[in-house]
Amino acid sequence: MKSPPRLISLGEPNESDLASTLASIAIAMDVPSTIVTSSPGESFESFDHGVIDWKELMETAHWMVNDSSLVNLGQSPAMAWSASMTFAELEGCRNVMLVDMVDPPELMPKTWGLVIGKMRQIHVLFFTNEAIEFVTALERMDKENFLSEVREKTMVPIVCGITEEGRAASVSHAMGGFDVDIRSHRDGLVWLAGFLKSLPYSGTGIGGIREAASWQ
Amino acid sequence: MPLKLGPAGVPLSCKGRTIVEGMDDITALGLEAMEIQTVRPVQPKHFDQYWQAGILSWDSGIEMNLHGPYYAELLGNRRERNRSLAKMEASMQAGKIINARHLVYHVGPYGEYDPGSKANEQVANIFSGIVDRVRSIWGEQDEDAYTAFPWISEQEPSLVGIETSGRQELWGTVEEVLEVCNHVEGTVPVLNIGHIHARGHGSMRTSEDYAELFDMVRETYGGSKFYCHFAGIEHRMGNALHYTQIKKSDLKFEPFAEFLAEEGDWMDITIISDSPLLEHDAMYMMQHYDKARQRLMEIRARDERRVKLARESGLTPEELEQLEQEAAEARNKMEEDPKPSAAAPKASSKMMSFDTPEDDDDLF
Repeated sequence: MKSPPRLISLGEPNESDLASTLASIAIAMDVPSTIVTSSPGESFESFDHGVIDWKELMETAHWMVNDSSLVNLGQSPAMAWSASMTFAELEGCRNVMLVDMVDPPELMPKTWGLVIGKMRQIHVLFFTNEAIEFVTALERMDKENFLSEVREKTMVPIVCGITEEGRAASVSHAMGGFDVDIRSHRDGLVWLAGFLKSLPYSGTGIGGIREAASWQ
Repeated sequence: MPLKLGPAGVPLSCKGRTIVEGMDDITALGLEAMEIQTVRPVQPKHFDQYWQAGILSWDSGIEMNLHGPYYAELLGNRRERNRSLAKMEASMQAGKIINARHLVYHVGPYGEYDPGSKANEQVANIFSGIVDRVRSIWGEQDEDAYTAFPWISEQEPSLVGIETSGRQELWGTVEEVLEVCNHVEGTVPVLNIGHIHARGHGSMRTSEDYAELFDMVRETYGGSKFYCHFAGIEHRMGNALHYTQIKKSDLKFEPFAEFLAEEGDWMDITIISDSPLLEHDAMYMMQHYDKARQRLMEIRARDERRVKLARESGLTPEELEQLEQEAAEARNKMEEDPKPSAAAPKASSKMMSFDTPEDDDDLF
């Protein structure tokens, strides 16, 4: 019998980041999910990240979701962000990185640089439409082939993003790439949550990835 | 054999995220090398950190290396090539400041060229320019620079490493890299074993495969200094798909360790772990190398003992080995056979015996 994959997100206590939002959407889709954050009353910027038992959390988890913007919120989130991905790699949990614009935008090159440093641990790399615009300009790359170029350069297995101002999701994999119309979903994150929910069960190869990406 | 191991970046377990803090951790782990990833254009504000790392490397002997932009299009059109070279320039500058022994670069897709001598010539021309630029960067300094960068006067400029690629559409087979390195002084081949394994459809399986690879490099390029990358890799149809930790890959480190321990005496080699588990896998490699050396030392000690014993007893080592084999066989036979004196019933005795086969089943 199939059981839904479990998803872990590292996020802010007020759940204002993309990783927490994704976990909330996943919960609504019946995917058992956990948001790891600071304890009540504790400052997120300096929370005691050492008490997080990643190993136990990841015992049954399939996805570890992180938002690129968390690295700018203080030393503790940055360290938890990095540790979560290493533990995921050790425990066989797949890392998902959500790349979004940061506030202020001047921090974006640094943020993107830190994401690049973690590329070898990332299994699914997701860009918002705004992040695609920014990183394309930063790297002086062609917007048209941006996702496939990033995948080829970094060897991340699945690179996807929201294109055409939210109307479509583009997916790039070593065995091919395709676009999916996502207008029937509320937004890109809803599509991603469904994609992550379907991916472990959709079979191997590009056909399986296409099937998972086209969930309804 | 000088073997240096280290991670490609600041160790994952490092509490801080600066290069200097990473170097402290590397020393604590017993590793001796590090490759800095300048995957994003180097900014002037990073230079202070690089200089501190350079000083620490000069004082502690940790070998520093630098990886250029994570992707290049040196065989692309003029615009693409210039864009790649502009990104490389910053890493060349940083190489001097950090006392990098190697600057590692990719070439990128074949672009407008077909695989062959024309593409190789173009790559050689470009790298010839890169080597000149590195040398001029190391050459331009005033008197004060000698105090700030003591390695400039005492060390050779960074060597320019050309990395093998892991995909069929990218320039960088071992043969191509060796051909260019052979023609451009100041360049060295960077053997990314994961890439070579992937491009060769899983070719690096035994210690003989490593012997063949390093013999080819020695015969074609010469020298005894090697710079390698090692990580687990997933591959398909001769193309690297993505890096994995070593334990999860069909590319094992044991055969490489065996080769290094048995035949690597002549080599001076640096191995950088670019696995997702950076320093963990570097330590894993160190442990396997130590095990392989230990095993080899045990074999050698046994052989030496045999020669000594043979000399003492007036036999040749081969005769002694034959005798030892016979003794071992006899010993094994004794262990396999039941002891007749204890197990067999005494035929001559008239006393009742309980040693019948049925007894085994009737114990309880």
